[in-house]
Amino acid sequence: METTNIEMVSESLQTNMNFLWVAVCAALVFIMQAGFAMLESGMVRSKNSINVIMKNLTDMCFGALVFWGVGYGIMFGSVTDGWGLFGTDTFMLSNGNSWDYMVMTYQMLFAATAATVVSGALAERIRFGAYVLVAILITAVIYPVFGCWVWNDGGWLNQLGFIDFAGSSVVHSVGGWCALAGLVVLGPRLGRFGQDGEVREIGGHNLPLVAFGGMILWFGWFGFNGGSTQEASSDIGGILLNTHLSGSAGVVGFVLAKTIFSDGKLLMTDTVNGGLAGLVAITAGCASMSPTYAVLTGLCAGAICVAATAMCLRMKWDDAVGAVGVHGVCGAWGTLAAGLFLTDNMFNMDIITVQLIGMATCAVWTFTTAWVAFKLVSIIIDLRVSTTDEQRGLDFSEHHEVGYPEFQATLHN
Amino acid sequence: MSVSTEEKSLRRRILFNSLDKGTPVDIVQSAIDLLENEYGDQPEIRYTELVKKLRESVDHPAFKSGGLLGRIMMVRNKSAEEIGPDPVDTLPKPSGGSPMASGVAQLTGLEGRDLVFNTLFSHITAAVIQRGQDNDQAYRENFLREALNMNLSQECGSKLVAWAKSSAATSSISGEDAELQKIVNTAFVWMCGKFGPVDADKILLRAVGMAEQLPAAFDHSPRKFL
Repeated sequence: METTNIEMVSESLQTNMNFLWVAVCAALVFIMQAGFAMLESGMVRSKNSINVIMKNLTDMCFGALVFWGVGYGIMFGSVTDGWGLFGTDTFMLSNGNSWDYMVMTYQMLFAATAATVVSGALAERIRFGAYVLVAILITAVIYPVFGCWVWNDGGWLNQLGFIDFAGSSVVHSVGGWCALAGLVVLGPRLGRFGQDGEVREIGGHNLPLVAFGGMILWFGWFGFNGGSTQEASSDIGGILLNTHLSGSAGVVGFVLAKTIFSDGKLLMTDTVNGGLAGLVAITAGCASMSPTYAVLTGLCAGAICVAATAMCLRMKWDDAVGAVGVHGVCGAWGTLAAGLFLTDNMFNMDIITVQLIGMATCAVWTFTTAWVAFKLVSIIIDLRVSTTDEQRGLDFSEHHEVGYPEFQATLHN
Repeated sequence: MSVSTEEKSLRRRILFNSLDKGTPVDIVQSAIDLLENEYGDQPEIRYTELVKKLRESVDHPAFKSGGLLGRIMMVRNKSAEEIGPDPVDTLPKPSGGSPMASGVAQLTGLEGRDLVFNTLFSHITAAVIQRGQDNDQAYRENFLREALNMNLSQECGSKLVAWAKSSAATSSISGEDAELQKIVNTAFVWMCGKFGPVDADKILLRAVGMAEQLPAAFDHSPRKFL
């Protein structure tokens, strides 16, 4: 009798601890939105800083409602199609239990993260209304469908044994490939590339803000990866250690790659991206690899980030914040690394094959649907602002206010 | 007996550095003009008389109070090195200077809004030329190509074409605000392609800064042409 009581108390305590842990982690993931806002707005010219923050704020809010209404049901509802393609219930969840609400809150913030990756990449030229529409489509369809395949127990990639613990592919690659589709459809900012292919740097207006944003993102990442346990368990220690090690190794890998293989210019903005690349990469395998391999994953991610960013410039994809390299490419690398370095089952070709299938599926599904989404939205509203608006800055032309009224001089009196 | 250049400069410095720092540029310019016109050839200057004439001819609080004469006396008692700068070096020179050297057009016969726009535009053009003499022709040819696509009125369009065809720095352009905005934007787009967006921003903002120094810019801000 006494044993039963102890078990009941213990179980209740565990349940409450689970709630507390996931709630804290949800708050940490929310803080990542602030990190994205700071990082992205710091990386653009002052005349576009408010526009970037507005996009971050609104994609989170519109995304929350859309994900609650549609996305969550597609992603985590019962899969009844027999193919493991999408969920068909729990839309507009209002009669769930407390745990359902907890999970939804947490997942809602993940969806916002995927959407907000896109905002920075397309900064300084996409029309605000068009971006909001695309963000709605991402959180309503593109992200939840792929999320269902991976994280829904009935999802077809899940059934194959695809490993993506906290979303290197589900969240980050989806965001990165959506951004790439946007870059292809939208084109570069005015004058970003010269007629002879010369790349013109467009420096950010507030680099300290970029650094603080990067650190806040890193801080939030402990909730992003740690909370994906969905329980207050002893696994958290290893996950947080792997997260921090990989992020740190990302910076080191970036510095080494830049110094050895590239021009040796260690820009702070790129270094921050190196750290984020390591964090993105470890997100898939943070719960299933040893710290040594987390370091290796991060080191490679830092180097891959350098190559991916160079590749984007070579292809004349004007990614204002490097989102495609950091989130898209390093998310894919992290997904592969999760299969390569799986503890007790390393370099298993069956697992690696599944990871490759998942990576490819993510890229093809996301890029294609996002490309269609951008094209669809362009039928309703102009995707790109006019050259006059680009000249004046999107703060004024899209929002009728400026971020730095004492200094900005591109505004009508 | 004529007044030496040094003495003229000293008089300007005394008056300019006695005026309140918040005095608008056009009022300062008017005061300096009056000084030059009334006392430019007179070997002796009576500052009480100058202040009186300023009160009568320039309607501004800066000359109404008795403080100006007191400050003039204080400044006058300083050594020549302690007196501040000559306004000739700090006030805008919308139609002065060497147009060939600076690339900035000599805009004679213009006033108000037209003067402000053409000053803005000539500073943009000057910046283009400063980045390479070859740029001038390409810049003007771009306007010739784009003129038909800009949906300008016949009058504005013909002035733009005349300006683009002429290498004379004195050609001026006028039109509705929206038309002038299109012209500035066409210049901006061309500069983005040629020099990159960062330089294009800088050129535009510097040109606005120069045009804002015109007295006419108080009523016609050059920013409305952006």
